[in-house]
Parts: sequence; C-alpha cells; structure tokens
Amino acid sequence: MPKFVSPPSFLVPSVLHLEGVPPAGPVADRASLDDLQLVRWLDAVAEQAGVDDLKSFFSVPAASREEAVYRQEVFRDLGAAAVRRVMGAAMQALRECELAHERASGVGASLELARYRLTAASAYVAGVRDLRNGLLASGATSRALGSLGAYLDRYLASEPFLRMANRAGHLEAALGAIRYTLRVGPGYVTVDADAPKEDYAKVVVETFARFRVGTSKDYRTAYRPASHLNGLEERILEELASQHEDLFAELASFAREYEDPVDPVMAQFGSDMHFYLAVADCRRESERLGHPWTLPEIIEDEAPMRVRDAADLALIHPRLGAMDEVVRNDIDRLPHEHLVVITGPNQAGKTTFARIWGQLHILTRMGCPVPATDAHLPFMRLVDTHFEHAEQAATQQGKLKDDLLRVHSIVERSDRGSLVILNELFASTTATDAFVLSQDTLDRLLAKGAVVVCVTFLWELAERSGATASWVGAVDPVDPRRRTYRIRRAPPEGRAHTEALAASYGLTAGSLASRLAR
Amino acid sequence: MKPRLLWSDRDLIPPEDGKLAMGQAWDDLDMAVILDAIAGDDRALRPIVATVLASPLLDADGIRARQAVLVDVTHHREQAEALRDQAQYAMEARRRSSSGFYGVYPSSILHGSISVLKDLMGSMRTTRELAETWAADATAERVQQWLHELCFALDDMYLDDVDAHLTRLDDREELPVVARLGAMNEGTRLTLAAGKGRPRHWWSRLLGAVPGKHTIRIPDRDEGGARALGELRDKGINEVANALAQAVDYLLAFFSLMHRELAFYLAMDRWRDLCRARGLAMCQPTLEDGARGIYATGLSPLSVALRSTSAVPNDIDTSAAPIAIITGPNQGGKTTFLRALGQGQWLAQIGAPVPASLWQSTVFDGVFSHFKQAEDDTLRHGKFDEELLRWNGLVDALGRRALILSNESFATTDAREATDLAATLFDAFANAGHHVVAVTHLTGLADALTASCTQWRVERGDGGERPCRLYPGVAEATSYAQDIFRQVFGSTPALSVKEPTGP
Repeated sequence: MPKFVSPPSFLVPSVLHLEGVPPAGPVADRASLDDLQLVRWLDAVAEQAGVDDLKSFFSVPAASREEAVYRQEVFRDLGAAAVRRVMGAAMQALRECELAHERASGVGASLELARYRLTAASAYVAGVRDLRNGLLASGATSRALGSLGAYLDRYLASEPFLRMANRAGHLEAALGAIRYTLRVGPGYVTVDADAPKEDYAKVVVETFARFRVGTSKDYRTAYRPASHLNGLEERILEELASQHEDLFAELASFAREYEDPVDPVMAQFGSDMHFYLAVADCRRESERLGHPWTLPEIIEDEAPMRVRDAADLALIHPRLGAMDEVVRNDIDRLPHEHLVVITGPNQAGKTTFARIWGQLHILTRMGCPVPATDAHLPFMRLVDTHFEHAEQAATQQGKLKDDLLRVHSIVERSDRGSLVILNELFASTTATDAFVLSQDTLDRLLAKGAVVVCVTFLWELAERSGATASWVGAVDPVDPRRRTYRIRRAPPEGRAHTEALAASYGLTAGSLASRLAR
Repeated sequence: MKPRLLWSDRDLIPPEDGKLAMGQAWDDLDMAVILDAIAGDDRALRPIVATVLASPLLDADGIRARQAVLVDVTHHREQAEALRDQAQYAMEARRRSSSGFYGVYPSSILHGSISVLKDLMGSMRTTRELAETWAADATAERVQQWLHELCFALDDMYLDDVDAHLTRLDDREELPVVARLGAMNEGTRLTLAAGKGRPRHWWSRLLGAVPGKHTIRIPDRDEGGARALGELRDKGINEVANALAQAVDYLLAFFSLMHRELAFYLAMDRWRDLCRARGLAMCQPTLEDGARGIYATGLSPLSVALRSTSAVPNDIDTSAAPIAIITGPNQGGKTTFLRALGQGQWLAQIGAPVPASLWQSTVFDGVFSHFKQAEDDTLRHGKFDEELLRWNGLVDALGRRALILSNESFATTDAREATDLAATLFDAFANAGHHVVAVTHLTGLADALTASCTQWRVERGDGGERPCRLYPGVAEATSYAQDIFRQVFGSTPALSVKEPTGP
C-alpha cells in the first residue's frame, strides 16, 4: 500500500534548532523550575494556550548563544499580527486534520471512515497552502520561518502532494454538491438520488413570519452530533453510494491511499510552534494588562548585566498573581560581582527579587522574551536554586541534611556557566551555624566560578570583601510599616528597620518605659 | 400587527416578576390609591395599569396621541370591548387544545402547534371583521393605523393560504425530506420538501409493497431501526415545527398585547366615568413643551376624594415663577394639596384624564418628591444626615426639567439653618431650569430665595375650622398648632406652643 512520504532529499528545517548544533542538557532541574515558579507559570500558559505541556520544551533549551538568537527572531516575527494570524491558522488546520484522523481510527473500514480521511487530508492541504502563502505575505524575517517557507515551496510543488491535493479537492466538490431525497414513510425510507429545487420548509417559515410580533423561543430540537453513523444511516449511505458508484469508489480508494497525510517535517513544526505561540500569546496578554516585555540582548561574559523594570512572571500572570502588588525592579550586575547578597526586613520582596534573577536567565537561555522594559543578559549554561522549604523533612536534623545534600550537588555541578540562587540557606539551624555553613558554601561556589545570588537574614554575609554586591529591601522612610517591595543597591542595614517598626508601634525601650509606668 | 396604542415604539409589557421601580415619589404622592381605583378588583388589569403609570411620557405629542386614542375608545366602546374579549378568548387557545402542550419531539411540537393554530384561525378572522367595522370611522391616528394594518395583514387570501399549509402539514403519511452529506457522510441539513399528493395507495400498504427502488424497510421487531427512522423524520420537520410553534407563541403574544392595550384604555374610560359619578370634575389636560409650571382650577385631591366625599377643589397657578411656596397651618391640607398637584401632573403625563375642571402644564422629565419622613425619629443628627443624603440622591437623579415637590424639608434642623439650606437648594434648582413646589413651615424662605417665587397659603377659617382652601398669600409666622391643640383638647394649651423661629 503506497503511503505518502516526503522526499528525503529535502533539507529538513526546524524552528527550534539551528542545523548542525548538538542539543544541550536542561537549563534547570525540576526542583529549580519549581522554586522559580516556572512550573506553575508554564502550566498556566499551557492551559491558556490549550496545549498539553510546555515543560518538556525547557529540557531542550538553546544549545548556543546563536541558537537563542535564532529563536528570538521567531518571537520578533510573532510580534507582527500578520505572522501570528498565519501561524494560528496553520495550527488550527493541523488540529482539524488531527481530529479527523482520530475519528477515523474509531471506525472500521467504511464510507464513513473514508470521509474522515478525506476531511483530514483536505484540512491539511488547505492548512499548509495557507501557511506558505501567509508566510510570503506576512513579512516574516526570521531564519527559522524563512527556511520553513523555502521547504514549503518545494514540498507544495512536489508531485505526491499535488496529486493528493487534487484528488481531495475533486472529492470534496463532488460530495458537497450532492442533494438527495429521503421519502420517510411508516416503516420504510426510500433513497432518491434526486432532490426537488423547492424548499418547502422555507415557504412555510415565510408564510408564518407575518405573525412575528412578540418574542418566542427556539423550539428546534438540538440533535447532539452523533459520534458515528447509526445502522439506518449506514444503509442510507450505501443506497446513495449505489446511485453514485464512481464517486464513492474514488472516495474509498483515496482513503486507502492517504491514511496519514501529514508530512513529518510539518508534524514537527506543529509541535514546536506550540511553544512559540503559547509564550508569545502569554506575552501579548500580559502587555495588554500593562506589563512590558522585551527580548533580551544576549551579552558576552565580560559585559555588565542590566535589566530595567523586571517583574516576576508568576506575579504578573493574571491566573497566578496578585496583580495589584506587582513591583518592578531594576537589576544590574557588574562582571566582577560574582556574589549578590540580598538582605532586609521580612515581606520586603526579597524572594520575589531572587526568583526574577532565575527567571530572567532561564528565559534568556530558552530564547524567550522577558518581562522587563530593557534587558542585557548573559547566556547561562545552568541555573540552580536552593529555596527554603518548610515541609521538606520531619526533623531539624533531617532537614539540615537534606539541605546540605542538595547544596552539595549544586556545588558539584557548578562552573563558570552557572547561576546559583540561594534563598535563606540553612535557616533551620542557629544563626552562628548558618553563618559558618553559608560562608563555606559561598567560598566553594565562588571558587568554581559560579555567579551566586543569595537571599539571607545574615546581613554580615554582605560584608564579605571583593566580589560582593549588596542589595536591600527598601522600606518607606516616613512610615516604616509600609513596604515598598523594591530592592535597591545599598549597604546592609542591620537592625535599623526593625527598630523603626518597633517605634511606630510604640515598642521602643523609651516608649515602653513610659507606657508601662503606672 | 402590533397595536402600539400606548407607545409608538414600545409594547405594553408588564415586567415578568411584577416589579416596577416606581421611585420615592410614587409613595410620597400616594399613587397606589389611584392605581387601585383604576384597576378596581381586576387582578389581571393591575399590572397593566401599573406598567403604564410607571413610565410617564416625556413628550407632549405622545401624550396627545394617547388622549386621542382614549377619545376614540370612548366613542367605540362596543367594538373595543368586543376586540378585547376576542383577544381574551384567543389567549386561551393553547389551554383549550388537547395537544397544545407539546412534547419534546419535533413531530409532537408540529402536530400540537397545528391544532392550536387551527383554533386561532377563527379568532383571526373575527378580529379582522371587528377591525373592519371600527376602522370605518376611527378618529385617533394610532387606532386607524393599527386597524388598517390588521385588515391588511389578516386578509382572507392570506388566511386561506395558512389554512392550506396547516392541512398539508397535518398529513402524517409519507414525508419527503431533502438532505446533504455531512462530515460523516451522514444525511445533514435535512429539510422538508413539498409532498406531491399521496404516493402510496391503500392497496400497496395492504400488500406491504413499497414503491420505488432503493427502499430500506425496517422490520417490525427492529426497535433501533424504528427509533432511527423516527429521528430521521423528526429531523426533517424540525425547522417547520419550530416555525409553527413560534407562530403560536407570536399569535398568543399578539392577542395578549392587543388585550392589554385595549384593556388599559377601557379601564381609563371606566375610571373616568366612576370619578364623575362621584361628583369630581374630570378634564383632558393640556400639555405644552414650552410652558412653565402648572395652572389648574378645581383640582381635587384624589387621595382624599377616593376615600371620602369631603375633598375640596382648589385653584393654583405656579407658571409665573420657577418656585412656588405653600405655607399655612398644620393639618391645613398643605400636604394633601401638594399630593394632588403631583398626582395631576403624573396622570397628565401618562395621557390620562385629570381630576380638575382645567389643567394646563408643561411636560416635565421627572416628578421628584422630598417628603418629611416619619417623625418619631429620636436621633436628630442622624435624621438630618439622612435628609441630606436623600437630597443628594435626588440631585443625582434629576434630568433637565423636573418637577420637584418638597414637603417640610429640613424640619430636622433649626429654622435659620434650614432656611439657608432650602434657599440654596431651591435657587440652584430654579437656576438649572427645574420647577419647585414647596410646602414649608419656614416662614422666611420666600425672602431668602434669590429666584422669584409665587406664594400660597392654606386658608384658615374663623374659629379654626379647616376648609382646606388655598389662596395666594405670604407666610404668617405661626402654624396654628394651638388651633389643633384646641380641637383635640377642647382648650388652649396652658403653655403656648413655641413658634418657629424666623430668620
């Protein structure tokens, strides 16, 4: 049985990967994606896009800086409404084709199955043709979509594709033109391949339309579309087919020949494009809600990293975040600053700030846009996190051990290409112990060349010499009870804030003394 | 075909839940008494009248058009009643039909509808005939237009055509259905084709032979096949069944609408006769868009007249100034008169007769009232707040040219403060083009106003009897509470009641 296969001589393009670049390992493990709220975000984005899963794409990040740029070009193209429309239509056509294919698999060989196969083929043919024409007209400039267009040009002109398209077109036209009469009597139905011109129902409807004065409801019985033909319908179809023998023979032959009309390159394109469209749609929806996004400029290692107005993408996602509390932060890091220490009062937005660091680097590595107004970010090999989890272990000792195990593996795999984010490291132990353990961990990570972002209540860690940048959670200077949720570069504040807060509640030593004086 | 006797662009349809937003003025002006009087004890009539009362007209032409319809209905009461009764009869067609409450299948919907429609055909012919006799000398433009539409829409040729379709569709034998091929190659977009007589003869049925090739026969025991065949048939008549069932709905709605609109005018006609029988003057008011204020003679307070016989008719002309101030002794009938004024305006603006010998007024875009609330409130300050809050809400609700009826405003604060406040408010209303009629105990109010005003007093008879008569006059610095005290206690109060403080 001849099955349709695309000629192997074609150059096979991919919209995700540059040709000749070997694939790379994942940019972050599942635990880190979880810590950074990327799992929640990806699930929400996938759900909104109607896609099963997007997390798997994060295990195939861009293998090189060049490949990340290759992807950014596609996102830039998707910024144009014309390109988006073309891609959306192509995805819908592929989905229609897939649905028809699924239905066909539910029935035995019959004229019903043959029709599903025809529907699948027709949807596919229309979809790829529209995709090619749409790409030409859309002004897309990315290399990925360009090579896809070039591939489509050759594919659509290929003899096997043309033969399939022509046969499908003729069949659709002929089947669509059929009108026949069923004479339904008591206990019988006669199938007549002819049909009268007059639409009696319309005449009746028009006659009674004169009474159309008040309002009325719809009395039509809504027949739920059956999943398949019933016995009577099958027999009617057979009777009809016996009166259109050639047409239905051609339909059956078409169905045998084109069991799966989809070209493997197109199938891969469909799957990859889900990733682009889901992220691009999320970005657009987010921008509509007033959150700016941008494609980062990917910098070399010795250049300063700089991001303006960065936001936590989970917080700004309408299904995940508390939209009214979104605070944007400017972030920067000079090439020599390998340790970033973030201190400040509770609830000041430190954890969110640390998450943003991770999100920015991972998105950049994926070739994705980031929620910021301007971004210059490096291409990181690996992003690792260690976040404090209250529920991880039963005992304090067990917890400390778990922490150390995780930290150890992070240290082991870190190198000059890693970003390590540590949030309240060793919080389960005493301050002195935590300080000592933290110092040691940081030494090891820095020795391996990693960049470390460290959120800690141990403000002394920020006083390490050399490669350290200190950031603090800012509070309102007038009303110390108000959080600004803004993190800025500043020397560590120690206890200053705590004291201000206490004063505002009348709990300083002086006021307590007078309040307690009876 | 719609009567459109009340509105040129709207039908008389009472809200389904029976709830109408009447506003504060409805209660303040005691309008429910009037509704009761017009609707009588006819429970079906009440929501109809209430619906009309709930939305006074805002244009003089619309009001005149209703007045003309009422005149026409009065002159053709017999035809109007016959049409209303015919409509009432038609409205019950579905109840009369044994199959009028159809099942869920297209076939039962179709045959149920046919049975009701056959019944309604008679009502349509009778309605047409009645319309013809009235149309010959109808006087109101709206009536003429509607009756001519009816005669045209329900002509014999059309009704015969409908009859023919009903007979044809009632045939339950062979049904020709045209189909196309759907996404599963199933028959889809099934639609009824015209039957060509009877293709099967009794003898072929008797012999079990079915004519034509390509015939699928369902064996007697094949229940699934029979069900599929029934569904095929139902799908074929789905559209037609819907068209007929909707036609029934439309016709029932039409007859119901016709019934309501005629019932309203007949109710107004009967109510006016009833009022006249009670000795009240009833007139057709004159409304003009340009005029200011209200000019009425012999105006009777309905809220009193409908309850007893002691209503005193009064004259007033507020057209000389944007504000009218009414003062006078307590229980002198000030509130009753203010109500009568508001009621008259309200009735006039729904196109109804007014209980006066003469009524001329402008068309207001709203009647608003601010009446003193129950006086047993002990929290003086909270009460004053509440009053300000109500004024605040009223100001929000005002349009461009409202009639504002104020009754004892700011009685909850001291007179000087109240006078200043009221003057500020009323001046502002006047300057904005509204018309204010205020009953007040604030004797200095007229002087405090910068806008011009007419001043009226409730007459105080000698010896303190209250004939409740209004006449032009400025405020006197007493409210004659002593009079009432004396009436009640039979002697003057030992300690003279404190008189209101003037400014």
